[in-house]
Amino acid sequence: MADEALFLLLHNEMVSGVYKSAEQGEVENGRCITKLENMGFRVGQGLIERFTKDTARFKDELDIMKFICKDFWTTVFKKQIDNLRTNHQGIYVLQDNKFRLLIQLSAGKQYLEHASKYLAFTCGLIRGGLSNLGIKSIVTAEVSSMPACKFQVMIQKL
Amino acid sequence: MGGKCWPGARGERWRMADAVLFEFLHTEMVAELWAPDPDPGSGGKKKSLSVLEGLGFRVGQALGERLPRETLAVREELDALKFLCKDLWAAMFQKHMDGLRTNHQGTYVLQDNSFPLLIPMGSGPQYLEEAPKFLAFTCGLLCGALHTLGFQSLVTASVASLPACKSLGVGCLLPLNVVQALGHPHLWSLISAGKGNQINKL
Repeated sequence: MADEALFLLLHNEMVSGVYKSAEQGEVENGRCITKLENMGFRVGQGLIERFTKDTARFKDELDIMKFICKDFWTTVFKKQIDNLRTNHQGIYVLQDNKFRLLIQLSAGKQYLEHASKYLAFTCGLIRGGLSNLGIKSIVTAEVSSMPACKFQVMIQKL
Repeated sequence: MGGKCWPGARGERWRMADAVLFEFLHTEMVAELWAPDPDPGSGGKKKSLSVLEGLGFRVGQALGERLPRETLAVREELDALKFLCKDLWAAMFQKHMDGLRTNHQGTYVLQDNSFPLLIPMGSGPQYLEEAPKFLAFTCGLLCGALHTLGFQSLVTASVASLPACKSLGVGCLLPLNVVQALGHPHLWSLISAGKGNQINKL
């Protein structure tokens, strides 16, 4: 219980800390979102090194995405991704119906505009993890109704 | 092909994952947030670690709420400190505090011989000046947890230098067995704020 809450608490403090220490114009031009995403990128890189040191080599791109949806997501958010869809041309949509960092917010539309602050770190987390597995990607996130969330992964050709 | 097997049981995997995730996130927070202080005090002097301590305080408050502490309700000050050394430290770092000393006048010294957030720095004087950045959050954490338990306190931290290392010069690398023998004493001092040198009870 306390162990699981630690990441949530720390993430909340990180989001509020970055916005509090923002300089003039940093919020408007997206600098804060970039900071959070870059922090998530580095954490994702480190995590993937630790989690995959005993794992067999992945055989293809889809295998890597399945690892992200199952093992990686479970270790960070204590549950699997609910849905993984792809067009088999490098675009994947990961849907989490009860995203853990959004559950603490309202279940309605009241705080929908602030949701992007609480998703940026996780976008970086996914991108960093994929980066250390040899995949270059762009990760975006969208929320249609709290606390469900979709992460879109666009894999770049190297 | 070989399965994606994880070492240890499910609980152990999650504990390992939680510890790793916290360590990386903490490192990012130190790198990002240690410098700026939106509210410098009088004279414009910046308390560069106060932001990290503030973050740790709120996390400590919330953790203090979540950990089992009903049995502390009718007990005294020393039991609250034991709670920090055992339950809180186990939840944070998967180990107990190595030492707890007190002068029975409101001052306590909590000692961790191998503090997990400093272990990756290695041993020796190379990173001694950087170490306080990685202790500020934990100071706030202890202060926040005590606040939840009804105590007001001031928490500071220090890293003891290795005497043998000093004599060997800056940048030396100690053999592993010597490091293990010497240990890494890291101290957190709880000093009471206010009169009488007692922890103020709210």
